[in-house]
Amino acid sequence: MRKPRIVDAMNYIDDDLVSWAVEYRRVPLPNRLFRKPFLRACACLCVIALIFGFVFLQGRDNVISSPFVLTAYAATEDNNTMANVLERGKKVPISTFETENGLSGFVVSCNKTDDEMPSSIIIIAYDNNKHGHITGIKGIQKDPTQNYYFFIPGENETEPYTLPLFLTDIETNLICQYKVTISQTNGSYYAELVEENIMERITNSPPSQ
Amino acid sequence: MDDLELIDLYFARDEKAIQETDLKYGRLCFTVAINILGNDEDSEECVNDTYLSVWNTIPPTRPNNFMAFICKITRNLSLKRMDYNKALKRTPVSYVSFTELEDVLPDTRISPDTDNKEIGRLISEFLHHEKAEARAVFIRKYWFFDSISDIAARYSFSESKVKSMLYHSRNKLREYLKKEGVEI
Repeated sequence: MRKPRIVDAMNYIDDDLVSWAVEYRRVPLPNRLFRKPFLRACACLCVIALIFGFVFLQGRDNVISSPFVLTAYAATEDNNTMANVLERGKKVPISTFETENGLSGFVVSCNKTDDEMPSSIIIIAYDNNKHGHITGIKGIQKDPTQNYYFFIPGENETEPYTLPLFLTDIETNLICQYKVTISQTNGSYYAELVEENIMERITNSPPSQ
Repeated sequence: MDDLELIDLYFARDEKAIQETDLKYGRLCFTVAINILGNDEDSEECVNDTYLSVWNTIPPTRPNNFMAFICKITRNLSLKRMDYNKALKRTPVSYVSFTELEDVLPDTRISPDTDNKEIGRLISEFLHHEKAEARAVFIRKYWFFDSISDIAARYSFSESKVKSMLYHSRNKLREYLKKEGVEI
């Protein structure tokens, strides 16, 4: 068999092609795929989105939403009463109210989880002599779906006043701990929900017989 | 040792240049030779002849690409040796590649006015426009005369894929040469 002419002609191809063919290594598929910068960026974004999605879903499983809604009460200039829902990081107006037996304090309420129980007013005071029984608060019409907390700051207490609340929801078996601060700005009081912790209630089950 | 230092040794007529060349490119040259000749003894001789040729060529020649330069000498010497062996009725393995290439440009009766150097330039141009993988496979097959199985193993392709790539490259090259006036 004759040697084809192209075999000799091939000897004249560029030197660079010859040395390139000696050194050329095929790039693995993943590297070839991500050679283009925008594909690399897309891949990075996908990974970040996956991580965030995973963390979000994981976190969402552990989040227990609060069964209680806290409301702060403030008197308006036209002698009406304004109810504002307390949310974390949001300051809402609050003012002092008086009771029939002459006590003065801030009013916060929360929704009742047990409809069969009657609505109540609980006094929270640091001074023992301020304890007593009150049936009504002047200016606030009792709502049967709410439990009221009448907070009387101590005489020696300085602002911001702190109102701690521990609420239990038996139906969902949760204990909710709230911390509301009350501070004065430009002559008006404002309440803010600064802490909200929800925990599962640990109960001892009766021993089986 | 890099190629520039190696060339300097040749210019200094230092015999260490041969040792260093053998150390760095001996295996590559042997591969080129054995792919064409298919015989260890002849290939060894060709590699040694290559070193002698390099020694006699440098100086005055100062190659820009020493690797390609030495491979080309080995390839030329091996092809000459193959012609000599053919006269002795020996059959080298590279004949398979020759059969395939016959369709592209059979002999000097085709475009006798165009010299091999010009055709080589056209092939280079064609290869520069090919995809890297097809280019590498073509050069490994028709310049280095690697076997299909070796190429498939080197680039992690199946043998049928390599055959298919070569088939398409040959056809495209033939069309390209025809377009450039090298009539088949």
